[in-house]
Amino acid sequence: MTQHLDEGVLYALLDDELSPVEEQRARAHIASCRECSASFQATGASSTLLSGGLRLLDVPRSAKPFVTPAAVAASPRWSGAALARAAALLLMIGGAASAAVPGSPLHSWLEDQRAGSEPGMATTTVAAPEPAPLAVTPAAEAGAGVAPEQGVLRISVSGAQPGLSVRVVLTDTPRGGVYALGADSSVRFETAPGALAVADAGMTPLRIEVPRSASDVSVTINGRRYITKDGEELLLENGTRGGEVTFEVAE
Amino acid sequence: MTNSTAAGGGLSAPSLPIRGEFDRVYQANQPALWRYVQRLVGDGDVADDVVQEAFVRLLKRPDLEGDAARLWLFTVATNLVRDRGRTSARRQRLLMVDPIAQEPQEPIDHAIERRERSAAVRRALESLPQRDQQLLLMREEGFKYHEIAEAIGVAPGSIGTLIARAVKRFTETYEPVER
Repeated sequence: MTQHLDEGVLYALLDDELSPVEEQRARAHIASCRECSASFQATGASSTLLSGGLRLLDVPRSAKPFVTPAAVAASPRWSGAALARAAALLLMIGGAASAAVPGSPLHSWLEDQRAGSEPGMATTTVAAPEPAPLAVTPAAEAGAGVAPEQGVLRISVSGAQPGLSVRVVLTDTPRGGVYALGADSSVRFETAPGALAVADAGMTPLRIEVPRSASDVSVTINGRRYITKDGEELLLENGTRGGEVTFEVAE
Repeated sequence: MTNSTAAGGGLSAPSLPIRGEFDRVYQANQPALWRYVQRLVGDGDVADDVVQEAFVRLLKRPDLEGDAARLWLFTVATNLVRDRGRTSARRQRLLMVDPIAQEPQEPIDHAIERRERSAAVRRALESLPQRDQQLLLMREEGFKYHEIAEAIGVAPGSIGTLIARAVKRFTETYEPVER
């Protein structure tokens, strides 16, 4: 009787947590076992669903610098959070509309509190990174994620039709990924350490996420290299650069 | 990068030499730690306070650096969240006027849908025991299995199975909403 792979092993395989020997054994089994192959696909899909869902919880991050312990001790009675909550109660009692109007004194005051500008609080000059953008995940999408291998991330897309819309973004997450927007069931994904291959992309718009931590990145579509990473920016083949690049697949 | 400290000090003398390393650890870990805590509690203000407190405590541990400091920060932050009592914090948060944040050029119906889906994720996550929430969120932040095992106090070999069960429970609650 065939011994099927345990779900825990499938997740360990997905997360690159198996030893080379274990990984080879698991992949060989998956290649020969239809049931485990389906389970592995389902594992990847569940993992993608989880990742996409958790990104929906993200909100723009407040850019608070680190407050030294001395400043914390000197802070009289209220923390920034307590002030914000007190402000919220005031809003409910006194009228939320006023606070919602940009330029109103209450609005400005709230903004000041959120920025942590209480007088007397000394801070270090540790620069806070830019707020992470809100991730918008369409109602239906399919995709796969992979972590860079020693800073290297290779993403290869095949079967893309000319005119296919591709959006590539830099993210603060440790894993990169490719997401087909619209969940076209014909799009297939395959991962290996530091590499992600997408087959039969067709005309399903793609969103590709590249971790900032990856140092050596390439996005190849139909054998043509469109994107590399140059320092802290994405670099499109035509010279366009930035933290987010959108383009269409050429003829 | 320039560092400055509050007038009058406040950092004990032995800590001063590690400020450079501390700032490096802060910059490397603060965004991910804030995201982790915010996902865990669903409250940016609480995340601000918890992350601040975790880094204050790190100042007293100059022996920690690199991955060890990262794991220690996440573990301490998780314990701080547990100590604060997340439920009461969220109840207070519900009292606040929280407008739907629209992205530039995003139609309001999309923003509403995104918010509803976000609430569904929150419900699915909170249906899990706290240990499972912690291991899923730590996995999402790229921690290795042996690090997660150390943080939640289980054998490294069991992490794959625990993740599989937790993801299954999460998707059982969340997936029907997605369909």
